[in-house]
Amino acid sequence: MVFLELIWVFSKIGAVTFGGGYAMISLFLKEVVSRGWVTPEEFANIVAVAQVTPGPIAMNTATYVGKLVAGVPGAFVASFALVIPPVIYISLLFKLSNIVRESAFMKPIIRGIRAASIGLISTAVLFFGKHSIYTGGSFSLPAIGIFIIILIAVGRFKLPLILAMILSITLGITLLSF
Amino acid sequence: MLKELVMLYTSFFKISGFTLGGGMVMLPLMEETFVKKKKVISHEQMLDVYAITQSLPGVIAINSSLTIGYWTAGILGALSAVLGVLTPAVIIITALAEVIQRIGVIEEVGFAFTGIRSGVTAIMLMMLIKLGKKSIKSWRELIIAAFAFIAVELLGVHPILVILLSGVLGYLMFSKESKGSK
Repeated sequence: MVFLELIWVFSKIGAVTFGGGYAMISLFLKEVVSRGWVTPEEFANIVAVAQVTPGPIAMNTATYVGKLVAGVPGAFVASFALVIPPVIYISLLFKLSNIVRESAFMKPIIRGIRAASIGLISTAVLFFGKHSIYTGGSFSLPAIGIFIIILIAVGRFKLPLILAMILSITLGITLLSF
Repeated sequence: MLKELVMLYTSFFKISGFTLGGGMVMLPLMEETFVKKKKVISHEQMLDVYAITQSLPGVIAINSSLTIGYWTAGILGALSAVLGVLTPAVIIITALAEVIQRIGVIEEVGFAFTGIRSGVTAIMLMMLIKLGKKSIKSWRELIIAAFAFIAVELLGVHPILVILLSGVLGYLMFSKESKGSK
């Protein structure tokens, strides 16, 4: 049953990832694309939308995938599934008070996972590159142009993200229409 | 009691519904709202919220809203807070998904998405560099990051397995050091 599968996939993702939405993308990709729920290109679009709409990135991604797979109920189920593991962790944390937060046992483990999440985020960046600036075995000049313009506009001139996205959309439509 | 639950729901609704950039960006807004304006949790509790969200797995916005909600009004408070985070995300995304499914056949929509994907690649690259500078403090962290990248990208290992293994690696590499520095 698809709802149980949605709960299983998204609670699993919510249970193991550190470091926020960006580190989760590679896990989402593995779980969601390999199940045939969405194509890699659709997934790239979903994550892009999740980043430029308000709200937590992971939750937006889960909601969007849930909506595509099983409509509005699917959207609710998928986003709620992300909440299940934190509820368990936090109730345990309050019971065991300082064991998790302060312990010398957990700190090095978390440090290791943090470092790994940088590797995982790198795979996500590469995935996006493969679905924009390098697609179908060749480089796309308009996409490279947009990539560089946004890099400069945000990195150098601190353009707010929402404006950067409007700029990306405008450039996409104008550059690719010709 | 009911007043507090409504306050938690609406405050988190606003924070989640109007913030771009994910959970990390929401934490300072939560501090502003619940410590300074509503005065329902103390500054020290807010520091604990930062610590908890950094040391527990899961979505940052969910962990922090559950904790703040619980401290303000118990279990029901936690539930109201997390529902407040969830509602705007679900409304905005389902509406948007519906629109995109309907207009997706138009060619310009495809162009717009190519534009967004290219822009997001740039933004994610910058985010990666920023987070990398914060997390990679020595060559040992670099090894773990490289191991994770190679395992997932080239060897096709499941990310969950990689996360578990890097926890073990982290324990082996850093446990001596944190005993001394704690």
